[in-house]
Amino acid sequence: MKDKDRGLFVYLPIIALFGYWLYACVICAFLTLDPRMLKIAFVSLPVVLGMALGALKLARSAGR
Amino acid sequence: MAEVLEQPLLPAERTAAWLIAAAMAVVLIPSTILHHFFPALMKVPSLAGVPYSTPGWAFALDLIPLAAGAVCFWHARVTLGWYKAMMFLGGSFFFTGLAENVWIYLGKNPQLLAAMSGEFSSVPGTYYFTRGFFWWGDMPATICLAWFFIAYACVYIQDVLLPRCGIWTRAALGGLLALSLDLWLDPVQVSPAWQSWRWVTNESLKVFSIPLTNFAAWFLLIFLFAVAFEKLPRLTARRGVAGGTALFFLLLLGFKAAILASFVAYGIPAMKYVSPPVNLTLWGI
Repeated sequence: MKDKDRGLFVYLPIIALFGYWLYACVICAFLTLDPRMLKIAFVSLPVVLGMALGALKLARSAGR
Repeated sequence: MAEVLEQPLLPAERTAAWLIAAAMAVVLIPSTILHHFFPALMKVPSLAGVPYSTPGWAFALDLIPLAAGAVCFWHARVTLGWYKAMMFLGGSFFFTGLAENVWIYLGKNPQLLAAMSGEFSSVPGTYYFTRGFFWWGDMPATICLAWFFIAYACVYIQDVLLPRCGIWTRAALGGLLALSLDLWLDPVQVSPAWQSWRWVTNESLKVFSIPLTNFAAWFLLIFLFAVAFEKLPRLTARRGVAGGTALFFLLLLGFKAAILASFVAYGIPAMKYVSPPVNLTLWGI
């Protein structure tokens, strides 16, 4: 696939995982109304970092 | 993984893809009917006090993983081709689904655990899922689907971040990403506000009140699936599509058996020597 045609397509798996994380972790944690559930959010930093770095690397490779 | 694959589907690949689709339908349709209309046959636990457990809510909440699964399958179909996309879907669906169904079945029949070792004689059960519209055995189908897209996304990210590393290193990263996701997901989803599944086990080592083996399983399932999927092209090259497909599923079955055996081997001394039970907790979670 040519870089210019890739658009959002290459990010789809990361977007899907991010969407699920947003729903099942972030939104559901808010809806528990239990502040302790938000305090432990830091444990998912590695997966957020992984998604961010993956997206960044894909963006850089598309820019070349 | 970002290249578009436009190879024609071989007849054997088409057969394998259809067989996987048929096997998924064969397990899903009867399980869903039995779960909703003959719950006594399936020993479906009471949903008293479980929020959002009506069929309408269950269906609505199923749509979220269904959408994420559809997006990842489309990406897999375009970049890997139909055959490998179906192998990823079917492999992760049956590998993780079988693993969870075995654990839930053992929990429903704790005498089987007690038969493995006297140390398990006090184990009241394992866990069970509460809500879901489509089911495979005792597992909501969308949980299987969630395993598919979580595995797919973690394998994708591991390959993007570490393209030059060997499969064991890349798979370890994928497993750690999934483990990190579940470290927050599990406490939130078992909280009283959601109760998407309920832990019954009295396992002696817990993190955030969740059994340690759960987090080990999250790492191992993604790690081992990533390794098996990497081996697939070599298996089909050596044994043909039919033989390679069969070996791929046998390899997954072997990995599943190894995980079960290792958890039993860990559980016996843990139940015997870790007393009182230890819960690594923050803020009382």
